[in-house]
Amino acid sequence: MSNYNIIMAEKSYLVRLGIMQVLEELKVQATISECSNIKEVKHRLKSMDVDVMIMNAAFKDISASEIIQLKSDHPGLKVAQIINSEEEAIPVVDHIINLNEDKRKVFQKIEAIFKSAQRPKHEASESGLSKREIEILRLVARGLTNSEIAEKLFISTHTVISHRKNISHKLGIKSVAGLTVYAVLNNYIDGSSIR
Amino acid sequence: MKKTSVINPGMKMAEVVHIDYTLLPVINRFGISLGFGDETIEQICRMYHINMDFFLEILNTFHDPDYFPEENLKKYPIGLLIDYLKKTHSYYLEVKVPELEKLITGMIDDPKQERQKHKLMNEFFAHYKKELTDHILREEDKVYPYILDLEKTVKEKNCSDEMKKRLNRYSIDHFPDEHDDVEEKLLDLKNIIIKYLPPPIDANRCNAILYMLFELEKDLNDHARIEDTIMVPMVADLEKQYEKMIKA
Ligand SMILES: [Fe+2]
Ligand SMILES: [Fe+2]
Repeated sequence: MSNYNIIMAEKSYLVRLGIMQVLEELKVQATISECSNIKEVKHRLKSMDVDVMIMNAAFKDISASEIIQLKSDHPGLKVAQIINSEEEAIPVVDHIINLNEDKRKVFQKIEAIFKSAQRPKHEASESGLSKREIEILRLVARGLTNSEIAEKLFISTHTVISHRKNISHKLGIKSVAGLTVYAVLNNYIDGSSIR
Repeated sequence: MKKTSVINPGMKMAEVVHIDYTLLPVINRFGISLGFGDETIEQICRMYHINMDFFLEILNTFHDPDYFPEENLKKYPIGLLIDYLKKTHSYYLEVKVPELEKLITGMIDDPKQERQKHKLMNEFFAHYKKELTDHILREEDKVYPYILDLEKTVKEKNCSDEMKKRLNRYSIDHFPDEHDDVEEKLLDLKNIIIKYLPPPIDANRCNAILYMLFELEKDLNDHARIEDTIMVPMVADLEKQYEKMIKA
């Protein structure tokens, strides 16, 4: 199995330890980062590709709409919630683990989480930009706005925006200035053609 | 594992640094210099005439992202907080940014051959610097003076027409939500260096830049958190008092 990036938003030391033990027994290789509030979660999500977020029901200030937002900003992110009782479950999460469940159930569930989180291989490759994305990157780096790009390529602004989201996600670079640096460093555009 | 110890008055200053060395610049900002001996926080604060409630609040906010002050909120005047925030600003603009700038300018081994790369990184950093500076100036020129005026008015329970006009021009509801944008460029810069800078580069220098970027990032985030979670609520409270005062 490949290496997963996990956010652990669980305050209980014992529960964290327990989860790590289960992961080890299931031979799931994972890099785990601990977050204690929603801001940290968002921050972590910005700086790396996270596959799974395991969070406690008691996790501060997280709501269903917040989770929906996280999931739409980070397609591919699976959210698993640990609960003490059924009332705590947030309906929009992908997986629910009840603390009272027996070993077999818990193992099954955790295994299912990681099965569902398997990243499609092509997305993870490092020269990951598609031809279309490179084309758009070039135009962004030259300083064109989304609607100018849309006009030029005969596509909708909406499509341009979604391409840009993917580009930023793949590269880990969001600002136009940053994308420009990337484009020049990789010879996608000539530095002298900026502005 | 997460450290959650709360820093308290009886702790030795030296101990605090051992627990969390990232607090060093914060401690410096209060004018406290190293060589604490075995003095406790309480003793040091007395020595340096520092408001201890405020000092502890800032230390704890930096130390533990979860620390959320509520009860302490009014134990010190907001002017202290503004003062501290300004000091942090000048630490960014006068110390950290120039340090980084110097390192980045010298980052490319052979500036003649790699002129374009060189120029590119410099320009990107200049961009970042401008954004950060603009953000800070907006706060210092607009937001902070407003807060100080507001505090003064509420404290003196008296408001001239001219002050009223000034206070009506702004409200903390408009506090610029720019922290994410500033953060974004810093992340970009980190990724460019970590993932995309083609050789030849000076590895030691790049490491130094990255360490500094990570440190700056943490400091900026904590600073923004203090503004968002301590300053804004305090001002909102002052605004309420002001409204009441005006109506009366
Ligand atoms: Fe600030
Ligand atoms: Fe700010």
